[in-house]
Amino acid sequence: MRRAVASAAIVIAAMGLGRLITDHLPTTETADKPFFHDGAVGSPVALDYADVTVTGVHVTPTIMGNPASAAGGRWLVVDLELKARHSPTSMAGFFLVDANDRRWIASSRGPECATAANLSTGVRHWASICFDVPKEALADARLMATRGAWDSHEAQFRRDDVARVDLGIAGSEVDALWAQKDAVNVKEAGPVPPEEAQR
Amino acid sequence: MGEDIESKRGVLRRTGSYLRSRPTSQKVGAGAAAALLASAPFGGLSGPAADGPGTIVAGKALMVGPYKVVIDKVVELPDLKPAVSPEPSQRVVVLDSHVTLTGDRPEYAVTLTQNVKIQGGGVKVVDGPRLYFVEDATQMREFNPGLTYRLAITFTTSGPWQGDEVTVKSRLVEFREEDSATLDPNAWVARDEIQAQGELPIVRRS
Repeated sequence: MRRAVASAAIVIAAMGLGRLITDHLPTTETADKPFFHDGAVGSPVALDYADVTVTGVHVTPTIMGNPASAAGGRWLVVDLELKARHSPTSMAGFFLVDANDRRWIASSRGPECATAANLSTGVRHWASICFDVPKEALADARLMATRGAWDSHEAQFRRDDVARVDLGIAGSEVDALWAQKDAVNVKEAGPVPPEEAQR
Repeated sequence: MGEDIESKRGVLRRTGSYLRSRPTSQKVGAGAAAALLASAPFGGLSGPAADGPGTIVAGKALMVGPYKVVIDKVVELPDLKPAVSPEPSQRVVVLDSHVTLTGDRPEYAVTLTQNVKIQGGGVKVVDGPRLYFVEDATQMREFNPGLTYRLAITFTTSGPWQGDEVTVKSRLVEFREEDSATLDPNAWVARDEIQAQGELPIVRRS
């Protein structure tokens, strides 16, 4: 009898401990979290699979082309240089995070705007990512670059390396950037340097 | 204690004889009220169920999941170049609309395109809907919240539309914090249920 009571007590205690662990330890969060690598414009960010460098940031209402692409808000165009480190790699996750931790995804509308990049090992690849965003997305915007595409569960880049690059847009600069009218010429993505690329 | 029980029994006896002396109509009414009260925990006192789909009207906002859609007019064209170039026998029906993604996160266009359709006209829809930004004729596949676009929601039809009205329908798209079917939390999920429909006049252009 005593043994049965002791066994029951052990089972109940084990269940209680399990409940405590699942309720109070952020197991899912830690298991799912990507690994962020911070950087700034002009400095390469070394990920496990690629180097990511933001080489330019532009804000414009229009991307040149035939026809030109108009923004619903403004285009935030981020120029990138990418290089796969150890093996051919596809990167499809390019999105912005603003000062309020909101997400903004890249648009495929601009004629040469890239939403993904297929990288050959050791070969430099240039691409421009275009975001059609409202004004509130600009201040303190950071580019996130990773392999898995953004989705509402952010499930495609769990436990993967993510470059988080501060685009250097201060809140005080937003009005001036928003007022800019000059169109931006986005170059064709690929292994050809922008100064030699088409368009 | 004994007196207490006796007095309670007396009250019950008097209540019973009072009820028995009531007319049948009052007894039935009281019975119905009691049944309704008893069914309250199961929804007996809740309002009537929503009856049928809502109405789609030109110029009036319609919610398709997170998207606010205002259909301004419906137009039929031989083509919508450079965006849509159908066969000569086919036509393009355009819902000339303003679309805004509400909420605070991006969405892909499929959440809208999979849940809006047109019917009628004695023709088949062979392609679409697709979304084109009217300002530059580029196709919209991604939306960020807070921006409003004038969009051509295009349907390519097998031939010219017969009649003067187009039936536009939208499916119910619900936000589910937990979805046991997909295990994806916080997702917009389409239900197999028409949320709204309307007959809109079609304008023909050549």
